[in-house]
Amino acid sequence: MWGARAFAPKSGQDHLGLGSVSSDRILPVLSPGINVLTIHPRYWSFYAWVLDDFWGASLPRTRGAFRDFYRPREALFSMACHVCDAPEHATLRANIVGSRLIGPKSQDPEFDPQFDYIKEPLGGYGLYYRTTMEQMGVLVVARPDNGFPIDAPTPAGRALAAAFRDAVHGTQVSRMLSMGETTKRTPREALVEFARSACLCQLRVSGEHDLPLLTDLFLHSGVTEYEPRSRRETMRMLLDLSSCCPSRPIAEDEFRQLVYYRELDGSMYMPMADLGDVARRWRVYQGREYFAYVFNRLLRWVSRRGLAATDGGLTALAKSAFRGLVAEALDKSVDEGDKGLALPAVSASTPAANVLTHLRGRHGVEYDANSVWPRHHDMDEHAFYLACSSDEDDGVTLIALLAMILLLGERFGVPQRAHGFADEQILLAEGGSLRIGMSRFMSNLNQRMLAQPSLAELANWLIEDFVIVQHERVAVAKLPDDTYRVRRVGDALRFFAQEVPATFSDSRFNALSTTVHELGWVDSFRQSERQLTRDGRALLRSGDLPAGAMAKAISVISRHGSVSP
Amino acid sequence: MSASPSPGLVLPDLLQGNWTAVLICTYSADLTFLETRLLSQLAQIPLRIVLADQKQLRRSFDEAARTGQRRRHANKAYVAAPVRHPRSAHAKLIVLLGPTSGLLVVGSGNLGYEGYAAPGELWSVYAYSDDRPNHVNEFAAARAYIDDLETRGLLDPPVGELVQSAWDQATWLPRVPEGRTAVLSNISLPIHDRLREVVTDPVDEVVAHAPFHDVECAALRALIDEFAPETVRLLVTSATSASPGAIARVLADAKRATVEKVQVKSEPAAYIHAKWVHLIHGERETLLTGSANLSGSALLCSADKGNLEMGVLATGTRGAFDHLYRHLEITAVEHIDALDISYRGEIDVESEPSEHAIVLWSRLDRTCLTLVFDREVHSDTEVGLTDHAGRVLLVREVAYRGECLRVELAQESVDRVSEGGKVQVALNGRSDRVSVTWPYQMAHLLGRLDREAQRDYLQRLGDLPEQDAELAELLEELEQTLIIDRASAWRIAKPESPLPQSHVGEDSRFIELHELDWERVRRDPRYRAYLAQGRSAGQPPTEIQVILAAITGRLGEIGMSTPGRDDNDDEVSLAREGDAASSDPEAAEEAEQKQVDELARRRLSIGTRTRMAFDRFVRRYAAALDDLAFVEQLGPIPAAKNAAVFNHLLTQLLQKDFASSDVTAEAQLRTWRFLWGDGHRQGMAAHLDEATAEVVRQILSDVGVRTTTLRGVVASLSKVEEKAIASSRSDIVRHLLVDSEFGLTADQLVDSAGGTSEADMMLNALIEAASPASDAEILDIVLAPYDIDRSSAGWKGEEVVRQGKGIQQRDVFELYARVADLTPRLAQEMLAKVAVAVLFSGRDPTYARIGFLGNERAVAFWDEDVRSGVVWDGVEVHHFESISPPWPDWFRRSGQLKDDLAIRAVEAA
Repeated sequence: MWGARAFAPKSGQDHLGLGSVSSDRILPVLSPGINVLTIHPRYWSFYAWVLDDFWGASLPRTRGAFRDFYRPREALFSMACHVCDAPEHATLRANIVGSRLIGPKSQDPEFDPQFDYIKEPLGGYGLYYRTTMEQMGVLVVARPDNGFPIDAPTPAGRALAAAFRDAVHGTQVSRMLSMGETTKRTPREALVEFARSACLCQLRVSGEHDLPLLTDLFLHSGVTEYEPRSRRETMRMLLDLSSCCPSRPIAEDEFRQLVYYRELDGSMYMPMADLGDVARRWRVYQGREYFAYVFNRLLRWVSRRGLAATDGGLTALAKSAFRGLVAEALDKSVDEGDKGLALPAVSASTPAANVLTHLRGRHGVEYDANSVWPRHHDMDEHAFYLACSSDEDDGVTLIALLAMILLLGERFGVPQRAHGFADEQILLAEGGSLRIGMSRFMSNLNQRMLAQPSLAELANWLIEDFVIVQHERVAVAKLPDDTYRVRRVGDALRFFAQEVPATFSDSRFNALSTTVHELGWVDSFRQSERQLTRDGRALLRSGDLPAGAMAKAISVISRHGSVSP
Repeated sequence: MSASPSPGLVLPDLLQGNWTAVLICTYSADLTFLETRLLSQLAQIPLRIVLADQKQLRRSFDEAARTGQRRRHANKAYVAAPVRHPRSAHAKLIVLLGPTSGLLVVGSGNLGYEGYAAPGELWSVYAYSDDRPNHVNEFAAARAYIDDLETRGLLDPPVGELVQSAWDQATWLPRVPEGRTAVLSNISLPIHDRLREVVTDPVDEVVAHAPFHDVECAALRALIDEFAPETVRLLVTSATSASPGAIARVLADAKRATVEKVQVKSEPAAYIHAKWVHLIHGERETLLTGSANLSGSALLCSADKGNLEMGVLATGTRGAFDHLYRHLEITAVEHIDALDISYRGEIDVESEPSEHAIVLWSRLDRTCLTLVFDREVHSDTEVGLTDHAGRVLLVREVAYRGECLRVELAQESVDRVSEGGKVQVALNGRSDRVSVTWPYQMAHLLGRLDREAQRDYLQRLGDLPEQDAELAELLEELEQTLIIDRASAWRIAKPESPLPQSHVGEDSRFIELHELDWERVRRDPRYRAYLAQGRSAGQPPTEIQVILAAITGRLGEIGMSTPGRDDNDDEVSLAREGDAASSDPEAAEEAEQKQVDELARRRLSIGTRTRMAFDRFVRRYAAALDDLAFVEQLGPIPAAKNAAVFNHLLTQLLQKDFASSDVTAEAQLRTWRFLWGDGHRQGMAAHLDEATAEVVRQILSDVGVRTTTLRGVVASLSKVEEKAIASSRSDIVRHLLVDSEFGLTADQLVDSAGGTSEADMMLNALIEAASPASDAEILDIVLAPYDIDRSSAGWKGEEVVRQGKGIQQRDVFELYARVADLTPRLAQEMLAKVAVAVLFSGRDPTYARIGFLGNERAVAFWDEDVRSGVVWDGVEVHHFESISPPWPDWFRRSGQLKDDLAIRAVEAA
């Protein structure tokens, strides 16, 4: 009998498994407790308040009861954040949970708290915040091993809840919620009133309420001693960096260039002396991003060229034919536009060392780990990245990717320069043999270069050993979801018509920059002429702000909040 | 014949079950697919052997070494061995063997995604059981083929040993078939000749397809010459490797010939790797399928001169194989040249011999690593060894014996090699004279066969496995290990007698205790396992010790590693995706939803049968807890250990939804009553003499039964709201809060919950579990002491005036009936009870009010905020400034615990 297809095709993402190195290994070290989607610190207070109120209510301790309790409250909060008219709201970035469905209702005269504002049963809390809140010690997530039926606030969470409750005390919405009234339509005016004290934007002016607790929490909380220190250093580095290019807004793309090159539009970023280590770690992070991009973009190149050569995957392509395709692309590169790059004219047989020599000629040989790396807008990693971002899968793209990996090798992989990143060896090794660790790869690259490969040989080595093999490993691991884009079948390759995006992982810049802004330390990074606040300057200068606000609040809660029969 | 005519065989679904050995023959081997996808579902099969073509396997291992894939399980948890045939070892088969049954799959697919999971391969499936032995000859043919590989010296000696062990597990399997079988190989006779033996009458039509032809299409020509068919239909695809010119020349010599292009109907892009020769002759049809391509070395040669091939020769009446073509879209090809196909070379070429000695295979026995090279290694050769991570292995001694090197390793190096992965061998320090080998770890491989020593699934009791098959295995092992009721004891006392027919339901009390030889039960190792204390030197732990260690997470202390952690962990973790998406909340929401769906899918995969089997097991145990005579015979120590095991198991089943929640929760209640009592009766220790009671207490303490009980209460609270269970649960939890034997302290709460903050929440859950759950119970707090009927009272919302707060809406407790002899003192006493009812009913505890509608509308209230109360007896007002609500003992105790925890929280902060 015929064999049947055992696994159904799925789109998937991160087809080489490299994104996980940044998002699961490196970034948690650099900014523990703040991830891509936990943008607004005040959600910590709001969710703690909801949880605490739930535990204070006489309701069954079931997930269903909590969901019913939670959803109208978050829907109201979301709507309030959409109608907020406070002046501080002008700098509020997006990422209000439920925006997609609630945004269009922001002009409505009334709002139904039972509105189905998001698919996830526990909204933004379940999707984004609960894990980091647990990491910060604000709550305990219900799990089989701790036996809790639903999540619950810790004393720190209860203190935060009390501070938020205090902040919104007296508003019509808070009165309504305290009486469990979540079915009546709420007038817009009531939500505006609620927003003036509850909105995400109001955190930085709530110094009498939850701001001191959140400040303490973000600067000093974590599972290990390392976590708050690392988070603090990263947040300070952002404050330090905010003064760079003050005349222009800084978005993620600028952030990447600043942490990597320490230069943007001629403006230099010189980290404060005690921020040198964290700045170097972020430089390695962005190096890893460029590194991962090379392989992801190569997979995209392979997939799209392969599909084009096989009638969209209808036929197989001999491996030898694919190598021919690579050689042909390299040979034709001289006839293509240069994409604004200053690369030498090459062919498939050009020694890869020639390109390396060319790069060294432009960049010099000193890449000190702690100094500014001068920009070459026609021939550095970011230039190569921009040139490869188009949908053209031509020879110049291939050469740019090869040049990019060679340049990264020069920066991070040459043994005589390794001592500059001695403290970052663990970050450079992240990924290991499972997810193409940079250290391991650079060592292989150095070995390979000793054999004086041609560009075609170098490209085929990267494609065969680091793209196709790696992709197959990842795709097998994802079964029963079939996410193959290319697969070896005997001596041939088969291609599968699905998209292969090549992008950077999120750097958490949005979350980090919003956090330091909403904690009241600096103007929004989207503004030009940014200024640090008094607290921001104190934090940057002295390395920390006074601790103890949370402990004091917990003490008060413990004295007055316990059940005394 | 084949198990089913269904056109769709999902091969990976077939490769699971309770077998003792699996042997896979394949040409190429995708070990990533095997390790990451298949091994987990073959986990319960002790012996797993893959025999692959030597060049292909070498390529696979070399790639793994080059690209940093550890292959930690290769030749340790499963065998990946080469068939050292000079040409291709091309046969493809899968044999699954059990003591009384087997499954055989023969076909065209190689081990890998394309071969096992895509729709371009043909398979024949045979099943054997002692009840249905009709395909035993097909199994014997498969065995004869593999045995012949060993006889010819094509298998490495350790592999031959392991293959024999596999056969030993299936004593029903003959060495050779008796008579003709459908399964055939070319070991002694070319497949073409076997075909000729079967088809002797004139052939009307030959239909043939293979993805690979030989350069001159000699195999196709041989078919035409030999069978002289009236018509030849050659099926090709756009991926066929064949010379169009050679095809044209060969077909020109046929009487009538067509070339037709085939595609899989449902998936035109699918690669058709299947090979078949279909002969239509007289009233019959014959179909050859299997591994053989239309090449000379596959079809026309025996193994001596050609490949190793295996096929299936099936015959039937006209039309018997029409189903084969229903899967395909067939279009005529006018001119063969129009097809863009070519001969892509021979896939079976012999490789050039290496210029230096390379390791063919190796084995690790204790501290000795044996390396076998392809040529003699002189004693002046310096051998450098490194492990998978490139760390040098410390060599104590090397003995040179021709091609064989025996290397004594330092213990630390042995430990590293034993963890699995490659050993890299460099000769004379030359980086260009390096070969890699994955040593056969024979002790480990053969040890997997010793299922008794494995106790694989008992070790999983700490955290129940998610897969249905594994859960079922665990249940079976628990049933074989634990003595939980009279039925268990019967199986030990009377192993030769089946349980009496009258045994229905889960209560086995119909078995008379005097029918059981208890002396025999107590002599049995299963009973003695309960009583074992510590371990004798060199002796393995008993099953009960394994279970209890698994529960407490102390497997390491009895020399066992935590199971299931390292199995495929590395490669499987590659499925985890990074944050490649942007910070778009909707995308994140969707991703989260997918995870939820995946979890739901996994939950659904727990089969109804397994769930029902656990329900039955749980009911049996729960019923036996009420069988005091049995419990007495069993003895306190086994009974206590059983209770400890079930206390944990029940909580896990409840938390993971692996059994019915009401059945599980009910069994929990009985277990807790048995262990700790419930206020009406005492726990088990109270019925024992002091010395025995101490032993039992120590057992319960060692296994952490208090912690499990507390977690079980929380799990039950979140899963079961059924009134009767909730009511019984309340009784027991109230008892646990005050019982001196249970001895609940803040320390215990912190330990059980995992932290001070968590302890507070656990205590809240206990309070909630203990609190009166129904309206009736709450009314009874006030009414029961005075024998007042519930219909005479109720709550009513009223506006009340509160000092300093104005008018507020509050629920007032109203008594409709007249209370005889109502005095201000009695009114105040009843008001105090109302204050308790107010709190437990979830109302604002700062204000309590009772109205005596039958007593001239007398009323009493207490305002906690101003600590002031009033009784108006219809005549005059009486003020009072204190009140003493009759809080239950359990609630007072919970308050003390709350205070203790609050102090800790402050200290921690």
